[in-house]
Amino acid sequence: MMIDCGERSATVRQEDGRLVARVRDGDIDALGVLYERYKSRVYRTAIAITHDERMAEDILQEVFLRVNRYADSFDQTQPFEPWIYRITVNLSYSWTNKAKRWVNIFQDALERLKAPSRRDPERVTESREESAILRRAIEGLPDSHRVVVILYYLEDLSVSEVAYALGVPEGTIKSRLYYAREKLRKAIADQEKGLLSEVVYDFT
Amino acid sequence: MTSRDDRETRSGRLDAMIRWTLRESVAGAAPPPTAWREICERAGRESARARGARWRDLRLACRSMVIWLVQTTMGPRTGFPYPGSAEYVQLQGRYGLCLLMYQQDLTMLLGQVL
Repeated sequence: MMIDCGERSATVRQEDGRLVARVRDGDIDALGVLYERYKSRVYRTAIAITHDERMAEDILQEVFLRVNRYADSFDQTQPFEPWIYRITVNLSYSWTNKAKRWVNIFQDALERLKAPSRRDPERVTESREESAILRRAIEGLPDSHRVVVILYYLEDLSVSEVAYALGVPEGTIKSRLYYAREKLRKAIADQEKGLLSEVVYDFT
Repeated sequence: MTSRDDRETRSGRLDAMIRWTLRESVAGAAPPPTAWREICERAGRESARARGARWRDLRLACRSMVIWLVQTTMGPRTGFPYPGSAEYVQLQGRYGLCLLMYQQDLTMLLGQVL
C-alpha cells in the first residue's frame, strides 16, 4: 500500500530513506540529520500525549535509539515520517500507562482538593474561552481517538499516514476523526449552554 | 447561506480551533539541547554491547569448530568406543569438554557434555 503523504515532497522522502540506510550501516551522523529534522515533531507529539516534559524528553531519546536499533526493519518503500510517529505514539502510550497506574490515585486526590467550586468567577471567565473547553474535551476523548486528533491536527498527517502510524485501516481513522469532531462540537455546545444557564442563574 | 454552507463553515471553524488549541498547548515546547549528546552516548554503548556480543558469538563458533575438528581427527572413529587414552581425556579437558563417564568394559560412551 502506498501512503499519501500530502504535500511533503518526494525528495524529502527519498532523502529520509537514504539517511535510514546510512543509519543501518552504523552512521551516527545520518541519525543526527534525522534527529534535527524530526526532533521537534517527536517531542511535541510526546508532550501532547503525555503532558509531561521529562517523559517527553525520555521518549525523544528512546525514539531515536530505536530508529538506530531497528533501522534494518524499516520498509524503504514507505515514508519515514509515519514510521517515526508510530514509534513515538507507541512509546508515549506505553510509558503513560505505566506512569498512570502509580500517579492516578494521588492525582485524583490532589485534583479533588484543589478544584475550585463550579461557581468560582475565575473559572467561569476561563471557561468562556472556547479553546480551554476544547482542550479539556480533547483530554476527555478516548486514547485511541485523541491520538488520531493529535496526529491529524497537530502534526498535519494525512488520513493514510495516520492509519499507517497507528496500524489501523483508513476507514477506522476517518470514523474516529468523525466521532472526535462530533464529541468536541458537542462539548463546546454543552459548555455554552451551561454558561448561559449559569449567567441566567446569576441574574435571578 | 444554505444550511449546508453553514455546516461546512462551522466544521471549518471547529477544525481550525482544534488545530489552534493543540498547537497552543505545545507552543514553545522544544527538546533540551543535551538530548542529542545523550542519544549519542547511549547509541555508542549499545553498539559496543552489540559488537561484544558478536565477538562472543564468533569466539563460541570458533571454539565449537576446533572441538569438532579435534573430535573428528583425534576422537573415536566409529560409534562411541572408549578411547582408552589418558591423552585424549586431557585434550578434551583443555578445550572445555567435561568428561562424565566412560564404561570401560563395553565399548560404549555413556555420557559427555560440553
